[in-house]
Amino acid sequence: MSAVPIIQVDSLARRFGEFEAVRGVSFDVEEGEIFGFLGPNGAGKSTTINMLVTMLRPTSGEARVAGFSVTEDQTRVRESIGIVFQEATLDESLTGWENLRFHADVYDIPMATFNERADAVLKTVELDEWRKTLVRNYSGGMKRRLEIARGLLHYPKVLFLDEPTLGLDPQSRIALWDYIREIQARERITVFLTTHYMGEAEYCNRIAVIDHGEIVALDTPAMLKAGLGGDVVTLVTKDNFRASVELEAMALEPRIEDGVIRFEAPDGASTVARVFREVTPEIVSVDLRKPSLEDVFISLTGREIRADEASAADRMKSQMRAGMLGPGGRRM
Amino acid sequence: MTAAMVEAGERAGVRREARAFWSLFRRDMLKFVRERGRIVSSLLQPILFLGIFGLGLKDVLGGTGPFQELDYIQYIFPGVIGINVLGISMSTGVTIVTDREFGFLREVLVAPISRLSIAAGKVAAGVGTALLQASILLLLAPLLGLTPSLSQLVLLFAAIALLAVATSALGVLIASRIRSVESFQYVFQFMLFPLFFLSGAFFVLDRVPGWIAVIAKLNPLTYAIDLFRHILYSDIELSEASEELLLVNSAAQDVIIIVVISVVLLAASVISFSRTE
Repeated sequence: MSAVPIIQVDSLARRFGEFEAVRGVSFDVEEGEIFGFLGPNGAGKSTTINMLVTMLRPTSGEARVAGFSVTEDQTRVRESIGIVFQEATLDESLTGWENLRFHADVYDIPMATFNERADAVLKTVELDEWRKTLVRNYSGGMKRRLEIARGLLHYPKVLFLDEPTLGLDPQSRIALWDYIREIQARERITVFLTTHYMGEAEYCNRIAVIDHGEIVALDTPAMLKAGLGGDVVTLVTKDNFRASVELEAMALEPRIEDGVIRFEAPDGASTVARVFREVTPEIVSVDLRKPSLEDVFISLTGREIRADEASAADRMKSQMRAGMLGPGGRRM
Repeated sequence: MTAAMVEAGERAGVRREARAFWSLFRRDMLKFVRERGRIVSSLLQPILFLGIFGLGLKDVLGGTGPFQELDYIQYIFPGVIGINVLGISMSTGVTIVTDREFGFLREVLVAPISRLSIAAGKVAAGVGTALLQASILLLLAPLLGLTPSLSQLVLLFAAIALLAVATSALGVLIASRIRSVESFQYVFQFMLFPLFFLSGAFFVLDRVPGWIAVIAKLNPLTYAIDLFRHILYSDIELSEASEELLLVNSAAQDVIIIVVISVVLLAASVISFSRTE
């Protein structure tokens, strides 16, 4: 790892009219990291990424990518990065190979180098046999893979992935992550990604949890989970209100959500035993587990990320083929 | 950085811009050639004009039209070419709007190239498609009794390219301000018909009311069609009266006016396009 962070963000903010999409975020990303931005839709993830890739001017604050200012040295920043946007950005009436060729032209990759790299990168994402097929005939997963291949073609120092697996089936998502991790390990590039899938956040070296345009936590997944204070216990009783009053008397911090009592405890197993002895309403069910990032998110923001609702909104959004600004301008 | 490094960097920058310009041009040409349906359908309109106006209205207008030396269909042929160039090259704007809708424009905008190269590449593609289309249309000329020589053809293509720069730049200008294909087409249609009919393409603009004459004078198509006529009729003997009515300006005047309009539109389109985020 180099001494100077590859991404430096200092009080970066962006407002759309009255709405503050990003409210002065600051963080560093080290070279070679997989760094994740985790948050619900409308939290400010895409707005932040659009500012980092020079597609949106910050209202205030500053960011440097690969050592260059995103407001003053845009061309240098653009040279140093690869981007896979949330929305598709392929030309569907060209073949996969032609899409790569166009990219090589606008990034000025010498033709000999291009042929060699395009071959390699198409093999990596298993699209080698489809190179001469028009992209409109590709499946959703194939298009996504081609976009990633294209983003890597000019050997960027940082690869930005805005919701890279949005709208993909679970199998394609797993395969795509294998590619991302393989490429990241081999090329030693830095990966900056946004996601609202908890499972994907687990792959990151570090995660920034963003909500309402602010970073509410930033650490490794393990440390974030450890910060919760032990195990997660969920409990259903015949009288949840009374049970939670009794739990509070036991110096626990229960919360009732959707008919379920939830609390964290340093030693879950012995706490559950105590709960069975001391709680008077009849216990219907009990669950004890290690905390997930979902639990971290709930304890930080007081609500669930609501994966189902989010993906429905995303499907709608991608059908709308949102314009240039992406989702930053409105809250879904 | 040393001066040599800076210079090397600038050279690389210029080469990259040139390559980006070329790749944008090539992409649009490739797509145009691939979409045969678009070529055929855009040829139908001029053929329809020639058929309906040239053959259908010919007798209504008294056999030969306004001039003894020319058949009416020969009279409107330069105008039909002009209208076709206008339609084709302005649809360059549509390609920008669809690229924006389908996301591809982001790939272009986030590349390390200047907006100038992008706008210029788009205008060049508009000129290229207009020339391709015009060369197909010119195959009809002999059927209408016009047999342009090689030098006439060269001049004509140069004049077509000149008009196409102006109209493609207009297309890019409109597209830089419009987000959806539907509204682009609305604006396009709205502009197209006045430009069509107030250009002297179908009738002589000597007895029209003053306000129409003013619009016609502001219309780049008026000058382009006048220029096309200068070139296409250069081997036809015209009476002085006909010449005065038929050829409104001198060829040099036409060229200067179209060049000025092109430069203004080109500058406006580049500036407007650069401001899109």
